Amino acid sequence: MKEAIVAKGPKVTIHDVPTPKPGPSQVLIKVIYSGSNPKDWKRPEYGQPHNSGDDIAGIVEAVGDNVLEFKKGDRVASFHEMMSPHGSFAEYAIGWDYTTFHLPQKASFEEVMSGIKVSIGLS
Amino acid sequence: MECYNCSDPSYSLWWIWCSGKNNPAPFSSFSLTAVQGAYAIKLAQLSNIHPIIAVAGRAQDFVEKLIDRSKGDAVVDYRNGDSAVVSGIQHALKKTGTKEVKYAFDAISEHNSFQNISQVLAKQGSKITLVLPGKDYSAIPDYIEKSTTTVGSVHMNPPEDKVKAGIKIGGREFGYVFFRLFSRGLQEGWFTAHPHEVIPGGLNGIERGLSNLKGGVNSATKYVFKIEDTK
Repeated sequence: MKEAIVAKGPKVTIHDVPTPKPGPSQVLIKVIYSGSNPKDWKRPEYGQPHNSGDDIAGIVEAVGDNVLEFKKGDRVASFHEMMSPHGSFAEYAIGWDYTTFHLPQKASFEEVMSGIKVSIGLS
Repeated sequence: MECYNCSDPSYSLWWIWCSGKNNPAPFSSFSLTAVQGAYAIKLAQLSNIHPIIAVAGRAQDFVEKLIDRSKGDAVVDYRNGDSAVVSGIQHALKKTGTKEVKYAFDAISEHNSFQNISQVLAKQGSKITLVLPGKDYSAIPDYIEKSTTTVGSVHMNPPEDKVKAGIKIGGREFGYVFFRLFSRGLQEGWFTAHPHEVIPGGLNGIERGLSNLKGGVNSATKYVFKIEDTK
């Protein structure tokens, strides 16, 4: 799959990498839309280059053994754990099951990207 | 003074939400260009919390659409300087006959935002929550209870001292509950989208989007990327 790595600048490079596998309580999501936040350029500015996207809207591709609520094909949005691997700037991303939620049919992937994280508070 | 809600990400939004059910409570939001200020206002509106005094710059026209002037809400322009912010908030409160304001959500937490708001918060029972962790907030007087509200706490254990005191759950459980409310809000229609712009090019558009964020090109707009458009 393709993954974008953000470095100081911000300078973004795109790499071909293996598609990740979800851990026992994680969900692998095919990313339809990724959101962005100021921290996505700020963290790489002062630290290591990484896939700094955290806001995921997409379709469940696979789930870990402990995941109860989601299955392949579900429309979901998820907040990726910041600074951990497999963020939303990629074709597939990983979210924890407890920060993933179902999207009603009438909610578009695009609109939902506008507000996942900011509703909780992030700069 | 740091309180427990440090580990409890939206605790502050939560009490704003709950406290307003029956008692409209004056609430000041320093929204500036921060998108989360806008969502705080949206949540406050759902619980009839008024007056909402929002502080904004370029995003004023946008904030105007979120507030309800008939309930005493107002927007104060921060571009006129610190003393104008303080007097602007005081003026807005006076206009509605509000004697004191006790709650503030500082979605900026820099450029003198909390110093200014500290000047208008009541001397007793006031609370402010801030969004930048690890900053020096000592300029906020001790009589104001302060906390930080950070989204990352939904992936963290409670702080060590809280665990020692016997608290076993915290941010993760809060996140679990809060994220499920989004599903409901979207389904029921009370959770709505924020202005956003799709940057063309999928993953190839990220550099441009993040550069725009860095350069402050946007105001109150989220940038999103459609991944399948990646070349």
